[in-house]
Amino acid sequence: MSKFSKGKKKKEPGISTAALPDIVFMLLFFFMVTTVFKEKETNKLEIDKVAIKETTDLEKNIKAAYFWIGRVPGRVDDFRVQLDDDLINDYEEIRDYLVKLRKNPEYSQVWDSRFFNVFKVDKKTEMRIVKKVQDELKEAEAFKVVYSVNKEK
Amino acid sequence: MAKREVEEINAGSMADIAFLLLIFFLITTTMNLPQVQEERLPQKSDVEFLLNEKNVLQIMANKNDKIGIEGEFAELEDIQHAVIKFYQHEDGARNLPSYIEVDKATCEDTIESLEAALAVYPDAALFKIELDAWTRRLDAVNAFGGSGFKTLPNNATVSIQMDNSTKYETYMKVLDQIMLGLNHLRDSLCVDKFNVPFGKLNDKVESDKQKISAIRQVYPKKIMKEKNRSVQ
Repeated sequence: MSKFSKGKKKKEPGISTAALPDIVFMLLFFFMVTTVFKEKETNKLEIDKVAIKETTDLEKNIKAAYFWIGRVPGRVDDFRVQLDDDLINDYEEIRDYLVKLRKNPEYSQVWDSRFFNVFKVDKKTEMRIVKKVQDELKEAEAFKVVYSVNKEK
Repeated sequence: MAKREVEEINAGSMADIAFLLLIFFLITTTMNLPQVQEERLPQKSDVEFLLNEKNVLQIMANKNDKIGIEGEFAELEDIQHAVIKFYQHEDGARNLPSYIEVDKATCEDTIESLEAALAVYPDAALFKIELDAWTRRLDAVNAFGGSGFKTLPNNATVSIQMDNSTKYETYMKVLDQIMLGLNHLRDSLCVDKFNVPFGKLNDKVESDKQKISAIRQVYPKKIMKEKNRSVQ
């Protein structure tokens, strides 16, 4: 009888995989919660956003119209407005677009409360362009404007 | 000696650990919402307020993005101090708006007389606006536990005037400065009255909502955008 038996191999304990589903679910939930869907972006214009100190969070569950104002890539000082997927040629298109949008009951019900015009504007844009767009908004009675900015640290 | 059988590790508590971690991350993770600056475009209105020069804080930017406050060149940072001074100064100071005193009795009296006036002239838009303003002020007095406050008259406003060629960046920085000044005032008032900074109030909670609107009554955000024109 020896203390160190060489004969019989020790049985390896099996690693339990019972917790694997838990880990997988945990990861799943984690990513579900932390994922922020990428903001709607433009690929037609170059936009360098302004950074400011006092910002608020954009409200959740809003209806919005997106306006991008920026430089056409590869061209100097050619600032254009993009609405939805297309660059606009005439500012009056904005009014028509909003009037059409308002005919949709999904939008008209929240027009005065949860409808926002979201502006993403390049910092070098001249105010005349912003002003012209906003004149059209007033005509269409869409008064709520938010400017998308970066938070200055 | 009997061989000791190696026991299988009990995985029963693994699920607990997983949930603990899950809940930890759930609580500590903040979602990055898009950051924005809000603005309300002016409605076309047939009511014209008479603007008294001393009730307007005029901020301008010219085509070279130079800032002017009340007609004099200034730096960007000066704006927030000018805004603070505009809202909070000694009564009767020169070229600054005079306050209106708001307390419970004044509110009730004014509301009563405005209602009487509206009964005679039901279409007087100006009366309606005033009635609305005084009703909200009365709510504010109640939120402060009955104590009165002084605030700027209805037609006191910060006016922003931008040149057509002013850069958008300058405009945003000016708005930012105004909000910095305003939020500074709101914060200190809120700490004073409710022992909590203004930014910590949550507008989803009913009691906080009243506090927010009460603070806003004392320091209302009033920004008037003048028609863009060429500023020398």
